[in-house]
Amino acid sequence: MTSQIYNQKKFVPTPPEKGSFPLDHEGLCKKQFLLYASCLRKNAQDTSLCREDAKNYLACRMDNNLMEKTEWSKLGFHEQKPAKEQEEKQ
Amino acid sequence: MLRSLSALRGQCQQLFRSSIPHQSNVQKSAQFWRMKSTNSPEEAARKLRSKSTLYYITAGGVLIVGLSYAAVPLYSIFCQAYSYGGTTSQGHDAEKVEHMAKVEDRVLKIRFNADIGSSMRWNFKPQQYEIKVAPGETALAFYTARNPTDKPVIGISTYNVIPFEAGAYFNKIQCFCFEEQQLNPHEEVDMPVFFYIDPEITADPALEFCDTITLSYTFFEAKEGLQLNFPSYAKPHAATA
Repeated sequence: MTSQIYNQKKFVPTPPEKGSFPLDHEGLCKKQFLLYASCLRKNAQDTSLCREDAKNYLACRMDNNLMEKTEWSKLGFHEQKPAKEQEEKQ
Repeated sequence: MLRSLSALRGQCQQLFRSSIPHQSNVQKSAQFWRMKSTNSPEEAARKLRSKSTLYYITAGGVLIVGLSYAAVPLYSIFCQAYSYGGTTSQGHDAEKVEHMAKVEDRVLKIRFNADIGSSMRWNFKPQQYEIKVAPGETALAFYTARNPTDKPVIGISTYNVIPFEAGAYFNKIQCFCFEEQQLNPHEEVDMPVFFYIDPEITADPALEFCDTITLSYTFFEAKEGLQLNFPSYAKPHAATA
């Protein structure tokens, strides 16, 4: 491996926090995935504008037992209401 | 003729023998004993000093060699305790995802790269070449893998982040690495990666001008004796929260 070169810091891969996604063999969430992909293409690959579709994909995974059910806040999906209120005020 | 030559030889030998200083046996033994030190007090003290100096030097050498062997684990403990030189201490805080704030003014481009091992028969590619992500915000990305063969193939993957310093801020919430994934014949699956960039990346001076991070996944075929660069605490199965 290239990490065996002297005087180079070794890259240590860290395991993911929630482990590994089980594979979606039957393609149960393919539709949500395609919606997310098309949203990304429309918005010039900006993920901030496609969070709804990402949320839908993860919800599909949770419903089909392909992902552990967790609260949205733990996954970084916070309520959008305070931001919208601020926008309306301005 | 011969007689004169032998006479000449005899004369030369005599001349040679007389030139060397001739020592008697008594003189020889006296010389020998004089070379050994006598037991006078100055001699004894000098001997003691030189012996103790020798012992000190030997002990110093042994100490230095021992210290150099002990330095390896001590250094790693020190690095882990103080996060010195890019080593991260333990895992990332799972509570951070809930409370982190999105950094508005910095947008990072994440590029995706997909590789396979030389004997791996899957087709593995990222679904999007790059995405724009703000630090502090979770993002979703996809890879696609296809098994074109007629036999089920089990793959296992590892990843790498370039630039090296950005790897400490790249936190994956869930992905498909470090676990064996089986693909049935002629099957195609989408593999998501759910991650976020730590908002503390804005405070890192080494990454001030870094706006592109490349995430590279490599798939290998899971065979016996395959040694990947796994961390020792990698969970073998899908973990609970």
